[in-house]
Amino acid sequence: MMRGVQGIAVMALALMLVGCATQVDRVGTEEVIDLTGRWNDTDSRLVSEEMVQDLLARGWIERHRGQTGEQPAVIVGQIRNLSHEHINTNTFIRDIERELINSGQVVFVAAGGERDAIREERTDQAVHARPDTANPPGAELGADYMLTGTINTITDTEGRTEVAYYQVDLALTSLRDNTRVWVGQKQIRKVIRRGLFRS
Amino acid sequence: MSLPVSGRVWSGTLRPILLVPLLIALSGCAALRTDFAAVERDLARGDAEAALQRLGPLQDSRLNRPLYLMNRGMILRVAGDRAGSIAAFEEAKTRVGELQAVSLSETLAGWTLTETASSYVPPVHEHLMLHVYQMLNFLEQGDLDAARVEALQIDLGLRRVDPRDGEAPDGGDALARYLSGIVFEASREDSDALIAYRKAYHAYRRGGGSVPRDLQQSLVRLTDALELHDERDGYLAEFGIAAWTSQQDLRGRGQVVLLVHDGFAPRLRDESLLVPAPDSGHLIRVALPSLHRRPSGLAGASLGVNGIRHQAEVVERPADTMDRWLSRQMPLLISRAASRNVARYQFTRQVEQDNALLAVLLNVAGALADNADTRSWRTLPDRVWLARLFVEPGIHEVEVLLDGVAGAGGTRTHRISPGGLLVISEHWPGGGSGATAQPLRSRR
Repeated sequence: MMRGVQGIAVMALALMLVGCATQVDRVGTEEVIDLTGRWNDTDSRLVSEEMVQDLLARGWIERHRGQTGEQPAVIVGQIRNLSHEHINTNTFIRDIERELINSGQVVFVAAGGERDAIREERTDQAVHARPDTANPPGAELGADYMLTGTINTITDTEGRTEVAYYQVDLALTSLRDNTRVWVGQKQIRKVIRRGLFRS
Repeated sequence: MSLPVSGRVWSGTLRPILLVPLLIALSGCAALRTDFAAVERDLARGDAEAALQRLGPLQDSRLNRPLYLMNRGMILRVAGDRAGSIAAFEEAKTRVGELQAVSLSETLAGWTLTETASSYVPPVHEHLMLHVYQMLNFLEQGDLDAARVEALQIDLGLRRVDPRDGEAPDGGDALARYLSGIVFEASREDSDALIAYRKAYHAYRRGGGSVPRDLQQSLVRLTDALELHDERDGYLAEFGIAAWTSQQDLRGRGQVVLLVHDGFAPRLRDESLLVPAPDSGHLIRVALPSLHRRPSGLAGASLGVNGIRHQAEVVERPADTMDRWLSRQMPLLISRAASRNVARYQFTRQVEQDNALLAVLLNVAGALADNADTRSWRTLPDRVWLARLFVEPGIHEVEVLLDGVAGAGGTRTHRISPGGLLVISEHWPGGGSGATAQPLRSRR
């Protein structure tokens, strides 16, 4: 009996004194790695790809071309994080922008903060650049549509198991008359089983 | 080259000899090599840089990493480095999440060796305050959506602790719920705001404290707006409210919320009893923590907007929560202390048969290594005061006053937007830390 207690105490000591060395492995960006079960880069990429595919497959682009003879100009507005996690919506917005630009079917207009920096540069050019190379103000392309959205979550927990349900809603609204030309929704459901023990 | 060590030597003499330095090392394993009294003095002097440097030794302690991060986040916040504070608190939350799983080795060590050999896992009330201060960081930055995330995490965390009612076992959830309500209301989510206000109300009642006047008004206003007339009338009767401003009338206004973080949370002290057993002479040590409060002596605080003064109320008393938490923990701590003494006694009795001197050494080392766990989030305040005012949109002179503290507070001009939420935090370290205190402000 005592030998058992003694052994357990020695084992406890040894386990506590064991250090953990840091190890780094490089992996491809396409590889899916779920460490915590939270929203991650893979979710951001997959959702943006699928939603933009759906956005581009709908009839609003053809209708716009038919009415104006030009490609639609799109701007990404606010995508609000209403979930229970701190999600970097900027990376999600960048993923959407990339997919839209690379599709070649729409013209893309820089959003708020970036626009201010560009305007500042243009003002600077007016003073410092050679006149034949300076870009004048007042020639910006106005967007035809604005993409806005929300990321929501519903969670349910029982013991050490948690189900997290993410819902991303995006809407494309005409800046001319506020009509919605496209609404998309994508859901992700994750089951997270937390371990009972740690080292 | 390997030294031949026979099984007899290992089990008979070598293992106990090795255990002596191990036990001595263990006694300092999770001990706080950081001088927290000096950290508090630095903070009271307004020298956050020095406080951070003093916290340094805690940084590399695997067992104390969450404690380091929580204190670091608080010091950075007080110093006005919100980005740094947010990063520290986020990492702390991740670490605390990882520690929810059980460590067998640490549990065993707690029952057989010492209380301080385990990772610091913050109790529920500290975990809640971690979210509260992160929420305040975001609010002071003007990031309402991120503050809302904290409100949701508070709810999720409390539902994990108490799936039925979402209540904290020792309290400390009242302010968390109250602030969540303010965040939901500012986000124009009235039903979620009312749910959070209701939970705050129940938490105040459960804790035996009075319900803050602003919370009373908020309950009446929102039940009225959501047409819950019976509930509204109940609150009107209970609080003796005759008139209130409707939600409709407040819609276009902005609001200013002042929080005063007053003093430092109580510290835990090691109260040890070391006596020889009457029959065998073996040392018996019972080490338990005791709570020592450090009230700052602040008499009151007020928020003034354009000359109209509004008195702040105490909305959270971390010291009371800690008191309840320690009382609840005490039976378990006493059981573990008894268990460690039994384990030590049996072990030294066995070694005694081979080597009496070694047994004495082991007994002394084991007793010295047995310390009470006195770790806690020391940079938390003793009390939190809150005042809230709804104002017309525009530019306002906002004045903060701490009663009886010369030179504290001040006036600043702020632009309040329609529906906007301006959060001002004033940290008053108080005179209990032994230094001449300076009020420290972090505001949006």
